[in-house]
Amino acid sequence: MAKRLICLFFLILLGSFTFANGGSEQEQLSEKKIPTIRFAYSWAYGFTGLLEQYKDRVKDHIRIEQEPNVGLQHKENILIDVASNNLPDIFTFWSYETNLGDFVKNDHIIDIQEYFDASKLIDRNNFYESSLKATEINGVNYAIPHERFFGFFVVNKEIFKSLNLPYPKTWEDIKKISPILLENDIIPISMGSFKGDPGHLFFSALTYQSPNGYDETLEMKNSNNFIYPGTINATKAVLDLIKCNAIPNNTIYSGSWDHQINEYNNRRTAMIYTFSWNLALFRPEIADNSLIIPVPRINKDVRDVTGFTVGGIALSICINKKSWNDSDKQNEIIQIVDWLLSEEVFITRLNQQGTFPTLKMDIPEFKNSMYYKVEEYIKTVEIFGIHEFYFNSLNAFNQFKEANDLLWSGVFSKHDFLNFVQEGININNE
Amino acid sequence: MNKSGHKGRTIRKDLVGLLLLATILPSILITTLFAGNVKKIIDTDVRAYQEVIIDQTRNSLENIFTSVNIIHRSVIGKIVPNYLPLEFEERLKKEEVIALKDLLSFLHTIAQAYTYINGIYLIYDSDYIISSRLSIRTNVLLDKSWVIISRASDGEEYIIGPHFAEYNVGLPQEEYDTVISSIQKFYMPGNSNNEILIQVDINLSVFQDFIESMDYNEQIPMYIYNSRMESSLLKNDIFNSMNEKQITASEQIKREIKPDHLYLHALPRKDHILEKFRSAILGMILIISIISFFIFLTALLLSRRITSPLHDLYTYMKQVGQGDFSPIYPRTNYLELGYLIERFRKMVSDIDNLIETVVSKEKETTEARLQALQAKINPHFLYNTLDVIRSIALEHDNMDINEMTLSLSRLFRYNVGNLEDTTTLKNEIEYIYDYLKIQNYRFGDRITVKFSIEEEANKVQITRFVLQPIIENSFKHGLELRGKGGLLKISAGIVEDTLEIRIFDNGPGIKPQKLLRIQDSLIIDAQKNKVKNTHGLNNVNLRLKLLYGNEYGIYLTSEYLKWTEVRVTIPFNPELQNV
Repeated sequence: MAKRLICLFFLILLGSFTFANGGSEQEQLSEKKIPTIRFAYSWAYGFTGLLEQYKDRVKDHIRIEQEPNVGLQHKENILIDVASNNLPDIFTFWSYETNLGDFVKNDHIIDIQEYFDASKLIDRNNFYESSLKATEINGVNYAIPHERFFGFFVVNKEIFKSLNLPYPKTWEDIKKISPILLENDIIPISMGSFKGDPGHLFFSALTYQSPNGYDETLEMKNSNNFIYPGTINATKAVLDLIKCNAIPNNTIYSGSWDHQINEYNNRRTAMIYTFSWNLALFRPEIADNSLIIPVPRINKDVRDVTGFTVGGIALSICINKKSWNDSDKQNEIIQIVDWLLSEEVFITRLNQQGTFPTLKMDIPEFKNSMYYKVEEYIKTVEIFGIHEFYFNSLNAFNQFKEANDLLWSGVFSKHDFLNFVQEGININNE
Repeated sequence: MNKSGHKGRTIRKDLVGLLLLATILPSILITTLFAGNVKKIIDTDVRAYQEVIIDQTRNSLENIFTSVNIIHRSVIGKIVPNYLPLEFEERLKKEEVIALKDLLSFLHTIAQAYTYINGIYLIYDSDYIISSRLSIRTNVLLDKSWVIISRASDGEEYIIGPHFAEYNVGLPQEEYDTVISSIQKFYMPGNSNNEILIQVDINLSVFQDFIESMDYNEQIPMYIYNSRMESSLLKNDIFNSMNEKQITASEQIKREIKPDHLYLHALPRKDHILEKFRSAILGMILIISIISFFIFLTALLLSRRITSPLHDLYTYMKQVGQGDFSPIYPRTNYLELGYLIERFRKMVSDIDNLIETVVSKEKETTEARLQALQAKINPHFLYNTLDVIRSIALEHDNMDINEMTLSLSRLFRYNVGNLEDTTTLKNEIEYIYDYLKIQNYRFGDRITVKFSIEEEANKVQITRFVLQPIIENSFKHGLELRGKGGLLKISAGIVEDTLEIRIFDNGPGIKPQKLLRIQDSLIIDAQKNKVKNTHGLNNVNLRLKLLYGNEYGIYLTSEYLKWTEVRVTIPFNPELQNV
């Protein structure tokens, strides 16, 4: 009896101390260790809401630490992370060897076949083979392509109609209509370049008008030569646009995708050369009044401009090799990447921005007519990869972007531009 | 009140009282001390701690706003040497493009360096906006009221409360960042027409620690007062939860964050701490009470193990005092108590035996007296009859009948005496002579009787009727069975302080097994046996032990078919004998 009472006493004593100390510490002790996965992405606006919902769904076994960034700021942050040995577990990054090469050289990211082998939901056969090419280096895929993009030249029909102007078919046409548009406080083509955007992509489109322009670019990777007839013609074409004031005076200020679409949506510009990742930004009424036309011919010797456009794979999903090899994280990484490659995410990204899925899947109906217009357009053209994909290094590409800033702003002459880009390639080649 | 004046006090009651005192008193003392200390802590230490927290909060806020001012100055420092009179009409020159790109990179670098900076905006007169962000909606920002106010100001800094930075993206979005803005107008040196507004947006998240009710600030409602805007800039959650009455009733502490501009107002609360401590005190009291209760209970249980046997012993003592000698003795594991109880049990047992012995003796005495009385009535008739018989025998000269009658008469007289009366061995031997005379008429010369009595032994006082039953046994179980040649030897002598009397017969003796049984029956504790049978060896043995002690009595030895000897021992004290 006495023994029972003593046991009871100690039990109650223990209970009392537990009561006095509160239950939180006990809860903390019994709390299961949940792995934290850092995920950095450049889809700051729109995607974050979806990610929050997913985080909530998996919060019992994965803690996702998200790092949203906007556009090129994401690229800079990731490069800082690499330099400081603080690479996120999963991150989006620009595709092709130009962008992924350094990660591969330094063994930062995994051969994505390892992920395909481990995943029970996703297989490489789910993707377009052409998309997978964008992340292939020496026959190995180092990232999972996530978004296809295409460039298109679009005009505001209403503006042209109101001013009784024809849609330009040649550079000469642009030179003719530009003064009229400017007189009406309308910028002919809202094109700028800050940190290369969107100028360098338009430059590629202009380069490929030359009969051998695309082949020369493909050759650039091996020849390390930038200066070809195609690039020379494209440079000249840019300088012609500046000369006839077809583009804004301050191309640095105008150098962003949002600025470009904003000008177009507000009828302050008649034409833009833009990309599918901006589709969602078109106002529906403006989209209805828009027409995709071939990029005007820069000279009479160009190839058929109705038969091609530029495009490729924008962002891909990369998996940090160090994190992948951490047995405490691998399952969670697979689970998150599975989700990033789910139709839910692809459809959201398509609707929220306009990037087309790399996954073979049914595309839902669009609310914005611009989607249909682009979808129809790309069925009729061949897609050529932009210069970005074929530089021998990220530094050379960055120098190409810097050169575009100076070219489009009117600072560089043809000679300056071509030599500046070539120097970038040469430095890396040395 | 009883005779000893104890007023009903018992060890158990006192012990319970003592235990209560030993548990309750420390509990009250500890609780009182704890509560007193808590009050002291709240009054002094907590208040000092709260002020430290307020100062720390003020310092961290000042750091944020100071770094914003540093950004303002850095940007000015960057702009002034390479001022770009940005206009929409003309294309930028090469130097201007480079300067613009450099400025943008600078803004971007600063925004990257200060992770809590959401955006830096340089708003030119020409409505150009240069931003650390890649794309913005210029018109949205230009339409903001604070831009208009700042443009009209004399250069004061304005801090704008939390708002959505819907201008920091190129196009409308579903989500916007929430920021606090610091905006200030600067003039280019030497040209007061060139004005630039510098707006620095701070992510609201940097103020999260201030806003959210953390453990440390839960007790201190705080808000930042913007004197320039004459409104509060930011309030923490706990302040937001207070009503007007609570705010008015609270004492306020004011700290300056930015001179003549931003102030931190804090309303340190006691009630919240008191509430926290109240539950701590209640918990403490509860724990102490539970501990005290169980200590008391355990001590009580342990003490009962001591006091219960004591109390039972006390009760049984009372029972024994009232004549009940059959108590059930308490059990205990304690050595000391066990010894006490055992000694008491032995004492009660001894007393009980003594009482029984006394009662037995009383009864024997009474019976003997009755027998004697009975004998006193009848012997007179017998004496008279025997005297008549002896007279007739003398008349007829029949000497045998005469002597036999005389012996018989003396036997009767001796028999009538009291059993407890003592007599000398000589008298007892004489009585035996008379007895043997009569037996001699029965057995004639078949039996020879020899006496060997020391002179000193004759004087020894012994109880009566000791020898006759023994000699009668010698006849009955020995000599009668032998036929001729029977020998009866009676000897007596002093051995040290003991009178030893030996009765020997050469009868057929006793079988060894029977001898052992008889010997066992003679080794008895006189105190434990009641005298029920007044005849035979056992009776004599018992009487001797009762009178003289267990070490005295009868000892029987025999050799089967040869002889039997009975040894009687009686204490001998020469001094007493002389008296």
